[in-house]
Amino acid sequence: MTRFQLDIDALPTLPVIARQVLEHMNNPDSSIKDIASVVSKDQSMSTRILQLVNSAFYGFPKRIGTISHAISILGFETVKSLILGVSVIDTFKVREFDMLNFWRHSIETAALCSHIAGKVRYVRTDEAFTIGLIHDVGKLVFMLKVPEEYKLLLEKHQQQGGEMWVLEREAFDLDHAQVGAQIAQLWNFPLPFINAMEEHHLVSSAEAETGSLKQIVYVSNVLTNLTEENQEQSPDISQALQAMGLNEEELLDFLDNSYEEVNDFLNVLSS
Amino acid sequence: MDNLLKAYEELADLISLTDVKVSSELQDIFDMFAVRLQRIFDVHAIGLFLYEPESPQPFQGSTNLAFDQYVKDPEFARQVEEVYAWVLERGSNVFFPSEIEPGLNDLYIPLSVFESKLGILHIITPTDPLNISRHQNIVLTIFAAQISKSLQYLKAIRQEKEAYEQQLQQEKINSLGFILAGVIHEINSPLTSIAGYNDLVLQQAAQLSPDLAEVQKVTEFGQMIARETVRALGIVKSLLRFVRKQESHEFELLSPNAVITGALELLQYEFKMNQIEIVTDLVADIPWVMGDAVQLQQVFFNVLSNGGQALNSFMEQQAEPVPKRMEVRTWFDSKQVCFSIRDNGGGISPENLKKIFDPFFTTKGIGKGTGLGLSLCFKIMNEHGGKIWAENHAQGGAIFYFNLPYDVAQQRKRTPDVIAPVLEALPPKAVKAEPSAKGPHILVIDDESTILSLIDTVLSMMNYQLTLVSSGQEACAQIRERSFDLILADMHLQDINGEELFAFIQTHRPEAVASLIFLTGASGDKHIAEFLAQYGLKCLYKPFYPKDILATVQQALAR
Repeated sequence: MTRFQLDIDALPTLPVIARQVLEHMNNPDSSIKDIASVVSKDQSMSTRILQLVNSAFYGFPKRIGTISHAISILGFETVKSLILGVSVIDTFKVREFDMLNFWRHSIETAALCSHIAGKVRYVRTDEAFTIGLIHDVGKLVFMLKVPEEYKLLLEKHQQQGGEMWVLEREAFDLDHAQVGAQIAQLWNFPLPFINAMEEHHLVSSAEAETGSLKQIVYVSNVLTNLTEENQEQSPDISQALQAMGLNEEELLDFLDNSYEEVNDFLNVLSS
Repeated sequence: MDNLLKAYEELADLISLTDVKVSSELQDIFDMFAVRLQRIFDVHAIGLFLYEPESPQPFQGSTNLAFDQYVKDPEFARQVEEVYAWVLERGSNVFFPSEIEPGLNDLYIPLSVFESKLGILHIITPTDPLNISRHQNIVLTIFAAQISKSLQYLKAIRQEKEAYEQQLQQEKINSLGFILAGVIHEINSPLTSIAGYNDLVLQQAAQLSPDLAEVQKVTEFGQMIARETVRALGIVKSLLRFVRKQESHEFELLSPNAVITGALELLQYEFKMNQIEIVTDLVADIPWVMGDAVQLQQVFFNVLSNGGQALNSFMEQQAEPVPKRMEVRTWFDSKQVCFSIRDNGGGISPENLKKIFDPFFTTKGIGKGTGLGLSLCFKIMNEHGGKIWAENHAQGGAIFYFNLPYDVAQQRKRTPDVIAPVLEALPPKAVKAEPSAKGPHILVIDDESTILSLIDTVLSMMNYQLTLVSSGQEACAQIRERSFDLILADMHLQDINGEELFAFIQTHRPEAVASLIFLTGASGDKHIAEFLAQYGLKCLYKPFYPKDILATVQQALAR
């Protein structure tokens, strides 16, 4: 198998609109209007944001017709997640792979991250959502850069089982979490985001600071995988759950119950 | 930068506010924060809505600034409820162009402390929310956190106080029970003696020459004593009911809807006569509860009948009375079933609200009520592991809430509820309309003329045709001659007893057996009980009240 070289410079850059939105987000004096004016310039982005806002996932009882209302209702951070999510999809146009399962896993993880963040009183639940949504972005890089090899790897994984990231390391010396972290760095994400992405497969993340973003993403990813059929063996997270005061049953129930909403979200995102 | 500076100033101000003085009065807290809020925003109106998930209207307007006009709109709750719930669930501030005040903007601020959801602060503002900076939004969030803390504190104090008051009430009622049990025993015996000896006096007097003026006087006085003794015994009887302890092992699984409709049926006549409209909103799939049906029915009966009386006297005093209405609702959550009974009267004064469950507290005036009705309700609900409390509704009138715990595991044994149609109020004056000749035909047989005329009076008010006879002979003649929809017969006629009458009907008009109802005063007679049971016959026991007669007749005719 060929050694995979990650060429940082050749990595896709974030679309302009996402960059501008992120900039505004970092400016405390920015208002809804400022961000809305950026988003409104991109017709397709605006349409999809509105579709998402009106989807069952958010379930707002009234119809939302403009971007500025969407922002004022969902909040800056959520809109940022959505813009990032849509941007990532647009950036990584990988047609050869089954993206539905990829995004389902991402959205479920995101929803669970945000749910857990609320439970453990992590300050920004929407931030947890964002990182959950793009935690596997490294996989997209593989799909884009080395599609043939990655397809073989996926088939191998299908037949032999085991951990995808282990296979990736064997093949490319790098796993998708590490690649994802590089992308996040390239896109100027804050350090806790980058760390949480980079270590979202490491068992040590279970023992990270209780209620930290890293722990939340790790636990959410493990639990979301649990609900997907190909998981024979899953890491023990009982201690982490206990430390956070969470109940595994309740979290799995949450995932079960949000199936419809996730689907709705998925439809919009992949349209 | 100017914005930022201002925001920080507000922030510092708010933080310094937290610990200074947290008032124990909601209004104080609200005022304190409203002033602060007006500094950040142009405010058109502010409403504080407390979240009570158990209530049918989960968001209750508690205190506000210029918000009354909106809350009073009957459409208001429907318009905002969903949005409130969404905002509270999501936990972040939401702006939206106002629907209730077009042209302005709604700002919804969720109030919660950790996972405990407290309510919504609804602000109507001319400020364009799109110009609100992220920092101002953070100030708002901190602002909400501070209000929430104060509210949580207030809630804790209130809950403690409420628990204490419930306990106090329970103790009051328990100790009253002890005292009453003793007193009743001491009074019951002498009263019985008085009644007995008075009877003897009357009998002796009857044997004297009845024309003597003195004898007539003695008889008259004796009858007065008899009447008053019966009244006193009646009170003792009702006190006995109060003292009796309900054992939970006697409980059975029962439908809350059936209990409450049962109580409504008993009052149907009284409400019709007083033109009180009953509106019911009963949940069909409500879980069943363990309890004593008779006792629980009494709870609802008492509250409904009290409410009806209060409503009558309130409307009588109004210059422009509105149609009288009572609303009965049932609903449930994961642990308990809930009921509410609301009237559209004048409500209960705050002073009385504290006392209505106190034993012997009554507003009905001396001689009209024992003042034990609601205490008894309280006691019964308590023995069922439930609660009863009263409030004044924001849109007027008093509202009584009840809840009873239920066991999920037992729900498999329940059968589906059939919800009876809403009882309709008669249009005004219709009660006294000319009886049409088409109503059900009822034969009433009783040789006590007072009873006969009582039944006549009561049933004539409804649309029934009546044939009244005072002897077995006349009765038999009537029965042979024509068929009746219902026969009410005294069991102890002078010329023929109940069993003989039954035998006669069985022979001459067997189809009428099903529509036969006996009247008797001998509620404890074993022989009669066995006879009734043997043939599955219905019976109305004396003494009965007009409503008993009506309920029995209506039920029998409904079959």
